Amino acid sequence: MTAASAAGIGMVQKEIERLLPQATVTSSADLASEITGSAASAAKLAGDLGRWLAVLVLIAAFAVASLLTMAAVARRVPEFGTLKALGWRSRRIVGQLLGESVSTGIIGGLAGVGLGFAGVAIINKIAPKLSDTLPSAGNGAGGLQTQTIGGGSVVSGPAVSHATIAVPMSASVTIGAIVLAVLLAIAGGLLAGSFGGWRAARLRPAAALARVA
Amino acid sequence: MNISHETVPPRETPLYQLAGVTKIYRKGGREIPALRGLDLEIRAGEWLAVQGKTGHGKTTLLQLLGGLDRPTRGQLRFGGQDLATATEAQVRKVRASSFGFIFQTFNLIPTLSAQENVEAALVPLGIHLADRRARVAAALDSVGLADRVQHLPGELSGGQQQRVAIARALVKEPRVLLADEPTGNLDEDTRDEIIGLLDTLWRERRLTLVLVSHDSSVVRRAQRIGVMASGRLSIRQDTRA
Repeated sequence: MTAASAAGIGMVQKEIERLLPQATVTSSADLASEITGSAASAAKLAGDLGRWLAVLVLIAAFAVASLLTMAAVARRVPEFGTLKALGWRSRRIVGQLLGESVSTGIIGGLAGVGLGFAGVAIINKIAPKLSDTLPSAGNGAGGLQTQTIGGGSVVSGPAVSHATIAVPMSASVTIGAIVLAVLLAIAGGLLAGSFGGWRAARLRPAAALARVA
Repeated sequence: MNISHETVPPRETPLYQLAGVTKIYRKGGREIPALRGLDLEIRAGEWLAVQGKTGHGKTTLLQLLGGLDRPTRGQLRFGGQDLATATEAQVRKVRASSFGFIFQTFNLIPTLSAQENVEAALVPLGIHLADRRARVAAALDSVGLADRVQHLPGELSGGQQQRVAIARALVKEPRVLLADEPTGNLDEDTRDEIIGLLDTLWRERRLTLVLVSHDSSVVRRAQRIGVMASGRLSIRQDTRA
């Protein structure tokens, strides 16, 4: 069975369905629509998963940074006790801790951006070259591609030729992502420094000095 | 450059007046008395040494004298101001300007050079950088460490580290030097060297020196020797004029 033109495919499809009610008749357009729909769903799923993974990783990074800062403050208790004994205000000590944490955050953020660029370069270099072969009907008529009949018989479609399309697989870095990464790193530093500073500010000098090994 | 101090009391007025000073620590619902109703007067310019066994209240007394802690009960007057009832800001100000501390473990900040460690004592006083640097250089020179200015504590011997700590205590020209076992971590020769240095500085600068030690050879240089036992102080020797 042959459709004279692409416009006639729908009519031919209906006619086949009428003659063979048990058969499933699929046109190239149907196939393309299904593939596009599946690809979109997969892309959405991957996007959502990536977003939530990023949030989880961010929370974990903030928690680890805060814990490490608290541990560093615990190690430096005698130092803060000494500074308090010398007459340093608590807020000056807190300011120093915050400064150190934010500096660490900035350095970490910049290092992360550098690593990100390196990662993108590696992905782009080693990414597999994907291609897809799509059917296209001869003479520009489109065509009936797949026919599955309940009894197993096959209805042949028009002559089909195949076109190969390369699917690009590449990672990219945007200015927005870079700025966001550095800002988040600074925010992480501030958060961690705030925890540590709060603890340092509450230290009594005598108690802090008593912790000297 | 001089640092402004609180009004210096008349010569006959004691610099410190402690009356009924009691310090009780609370640990796990238990009360541990460290000082029990201590009465003490310390004159400006005197050297008081406090001896006693570990855990009998020597360090607690020193911490109270230095405004690092507050008594549970009693009056602790320094230069006319009661440190027991003063606000935290007032005590911190007195600590920054009037007290110099020397610790057994030196308590130098390991990531700072000798110069920066000494300079840390001047930061709360808001002294200009150029003045700070000049005073730090003079202080390190006075303890014989002019050539170790840029060394980190880890690059110095124990004796040298304690000299840096002494320079840090003296750079602000304090009225009182409070030393807690300053030779406890030093060998015999270095101990004599450090105590000799403290003796010289005490005489030259007319400091009030309160020194806590269990070492009799260190303590015997003092004008007055007190012994702490179970939170009470008894004076054993007094050679003051």
